[in-house]
Amino acid sequence: MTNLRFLLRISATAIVIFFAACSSQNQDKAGTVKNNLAMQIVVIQFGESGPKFAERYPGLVRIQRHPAGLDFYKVNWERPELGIVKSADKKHPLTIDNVIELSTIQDNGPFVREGLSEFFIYAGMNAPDLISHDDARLRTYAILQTVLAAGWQQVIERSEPRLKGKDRLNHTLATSNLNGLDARYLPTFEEWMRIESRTPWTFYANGIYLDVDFTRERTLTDPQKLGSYLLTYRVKTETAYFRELSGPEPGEDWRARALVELQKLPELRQAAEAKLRASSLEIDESYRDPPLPDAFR
Amino acid sequence: MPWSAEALVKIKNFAVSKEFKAGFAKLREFETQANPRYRSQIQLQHLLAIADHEQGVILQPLIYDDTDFVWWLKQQRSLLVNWASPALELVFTHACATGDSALKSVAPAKTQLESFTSRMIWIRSAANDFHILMQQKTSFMEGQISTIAGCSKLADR
Repeated sequence: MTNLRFLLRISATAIVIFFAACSSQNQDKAGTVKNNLAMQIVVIQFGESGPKFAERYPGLVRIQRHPAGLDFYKVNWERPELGIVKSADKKHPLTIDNVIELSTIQDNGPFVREGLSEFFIYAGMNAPDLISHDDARLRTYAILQTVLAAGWQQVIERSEPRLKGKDRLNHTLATSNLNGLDARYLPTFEEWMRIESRTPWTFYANGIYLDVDFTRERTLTDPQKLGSYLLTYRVKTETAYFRELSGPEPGEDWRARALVELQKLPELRQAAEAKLRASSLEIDESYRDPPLPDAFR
Repeated sequence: MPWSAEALVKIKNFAVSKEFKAGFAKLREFETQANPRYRSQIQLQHLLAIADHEQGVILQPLIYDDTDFVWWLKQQRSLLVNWASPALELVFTHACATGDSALKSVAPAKTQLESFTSRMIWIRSAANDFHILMQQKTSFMEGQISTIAGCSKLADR
């Protein structure tokens, strides 16, 4: 996207941020869950069509049809009966508790046959609304360990240097929160408070990519007082993941465009690593990128 | 606007906030980033920084500290207030060009305002939806935005 288009986006956000659907199948109190455990657990299946997903959970899924050519499928839960989201396939095991909203998209354009390929899950921490910052730190770390224990491997963006632990934290703090963090490293309390909202931990398992990040309530950042945290999980197929390399408005030819960009990424990593080696930082030579999908090998 | 004096004091005369600076930092990051996936993520993070700014610096002091929320919603037809209320859900119809655009604003459920987590989700989810539309249906969205930019010059509705 050119800078001009980017600036157009900014002016758009300054005027009107959000388009809702022109028609909304809002099943009234759909998603307001009564005392019914069956209404709490949602199992997600990559590739399932939106309508099939809604069929599996009648009364729970709210559909927003957007004139641009995609539909949002959402489930909302309210305290105290929050949701539990699980992945159907044991090859990428996932269980997320305290879910407040699940959101996914069904494309009606060139990718309609892919069904639901990306899910966004918004969860609270294991506390009503307020939690001490230190508990948030420990709770997040515990969640990340369960992800690792379930067999997900960590991911470093292919354009970024292979750092680990504290080195990766320091590098991310000095560059961009997008460079993410090493889930094996438990940040100190002081480091935790310096980690920006929406700094991702990224994982891969059997064709699926997972990002986990926290958002820290802006108005409650006093380290001595209670805070409030949101956990956001983004889970997507590797097709959806690599399509992001093809730039805005991907079309039928997205693979060719993505491949061109993919081939540029290793050089960016090498350049970044050369600089870091020069300042005596250790590059994690044991790190392995996840396998590329067949189309890109 | 009779309420503007009080509103401006609350907004600290539009002083540059930490969130605003974070937004500009993301803009700079966008300009120097070669990886298209990162560029897309930076756009979303930039949008969220603006939402943080508007919510924190403008929206929050005016709404969440103000007991008369219903009064506030009525004011949101003015351009300033539309600019300052990103989290209000608006429905755009194609009739805008005929001057008959219906902008329906939906107030958040009470629980969403009272709970920090729910409010964070509301903003994150709305920004994410917008971001997905902008990334995947770019030309449609840019077309709509240009039309809305035109509509905003209409007299107070």
